[in-house]
Amino acid sequence: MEKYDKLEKVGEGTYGKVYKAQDKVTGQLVALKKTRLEMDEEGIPPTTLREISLLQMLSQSIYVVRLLGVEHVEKNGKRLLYLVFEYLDTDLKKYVDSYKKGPNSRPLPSRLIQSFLYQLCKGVAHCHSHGVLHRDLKPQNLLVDKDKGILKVADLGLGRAFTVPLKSYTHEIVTLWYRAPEVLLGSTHYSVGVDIWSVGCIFAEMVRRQPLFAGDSELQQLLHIFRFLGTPTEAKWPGVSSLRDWHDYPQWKPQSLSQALPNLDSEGVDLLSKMLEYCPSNRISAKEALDHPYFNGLDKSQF
Amino acid sequence: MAETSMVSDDDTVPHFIYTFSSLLQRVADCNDALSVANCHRLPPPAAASAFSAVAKPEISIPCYLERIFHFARCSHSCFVVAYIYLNRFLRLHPTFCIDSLNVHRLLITAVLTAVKFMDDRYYNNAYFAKVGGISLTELNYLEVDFLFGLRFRLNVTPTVFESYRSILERESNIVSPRIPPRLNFLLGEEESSSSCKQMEIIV
Repeated sequence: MEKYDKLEKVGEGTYGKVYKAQDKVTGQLVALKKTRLEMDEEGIPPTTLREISLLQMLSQSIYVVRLLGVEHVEKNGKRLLYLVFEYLDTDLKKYVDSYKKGPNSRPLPSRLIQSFLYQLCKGVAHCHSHGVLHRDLKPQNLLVDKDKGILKVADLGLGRAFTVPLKSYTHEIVTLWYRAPEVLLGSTHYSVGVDIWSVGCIFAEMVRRQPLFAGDSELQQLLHIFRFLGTPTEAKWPGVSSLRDWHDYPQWKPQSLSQALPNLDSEGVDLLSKMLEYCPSNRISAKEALDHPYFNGLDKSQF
Repeated sequence: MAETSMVSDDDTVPHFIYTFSSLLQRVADCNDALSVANCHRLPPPAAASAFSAVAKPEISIPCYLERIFHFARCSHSCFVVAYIYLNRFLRLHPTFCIDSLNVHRLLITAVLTAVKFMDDRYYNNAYFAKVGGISLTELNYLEVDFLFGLRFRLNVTPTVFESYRSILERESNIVSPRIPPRLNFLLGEEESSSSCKQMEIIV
């Protein structure tokens, strides 16, 4: 790690700090994610192990953050693992916040929302085509280069390969606000639809500059969704009433998406409704989303 | 082997587990014999030397793997994945040989790695160290060596998974195979390497 000058601490994770650093020779900016390995009983944290191996496979896409290297360091009897990433100056959460606060408060330009969503779908489609579910898509995990208008998927610590037969999946995935209804209802054999639901929530959040469904418990989260999209029925979502945590919920009628999101054009409303489709198998895929007419006005040659 | 047997919670040891251990047993036996015959054997590469025990462990490979199977309680797929990792490891370290001194440590580390990568719920390293009969400190070092040795290439595509699964399944149906199966079975995924010692010995 002598190769780099640590410039400042930019974040703190479960296992260690994240630094902005600079390559002493080339001047290249990098993010150093330090992982302490002193929690002996666990060995290498599984999130780190998955993040490294998944990123190594996915990093060739420019819509996924690039992992430049991994180093195991032993210093004063302490074992550390450093992950070296390309550096991006902010994340989508901070970026959206910058449009929300202060005297400059204004909506995000619709061209920018279109471009960010397109890049997000590209990144997610890339993960899915490699058999990887991200499972923790949220604005904090999407890195942004402000000046270039680039967005990249990051933080694959909760990612999982979904193509090999496995025991049931944990349903403690995805920050509550971006969690798909099938996961909230206790389904343990979910698939790519969970990521698309999160993408839909992030899309709406860019438009509204605030989260779409901000529940503070699993039940509250479900009720937020039901109140907005209507309580799901067997007709709309076959099998929903057989899910583990299904109960008889109050019956709400769906609200109009276009009224709730007046800033979004009709194509955008249509795409969002397809991402927030209740039945996971009917939800639009990331690849299909890329061909949606909402992106027609976008100059795709730049991607 | 039906796909369902890969996700079953059944305690019965599936036949492919025995196939897996008999494959390893034969490779280790061959390399042990070669090592005795060949005084000019190359020392193992640094990344791999950590796996060598000072003395041959008393527990047989089939018993050891069965023990891991019973106590790890992971998806059965993890054993297929562990088998794939061992093959990958050997391809990346062509001078390294599986023998009776290192096979146990390689096995427990490969299964631990597979479980951590594949399953959402699993036991920690401390538990695996007890199951494997080695110290926690040692397992932690072996884990790092194995991951770097594999260059963190842990992902397994469905095609590769199915190929290896079918090898273990096919061999399961042969009561006493005349030709010993190769551990480094050539598959599309990995480049072939003629310098691979295991290949030369047992083909």
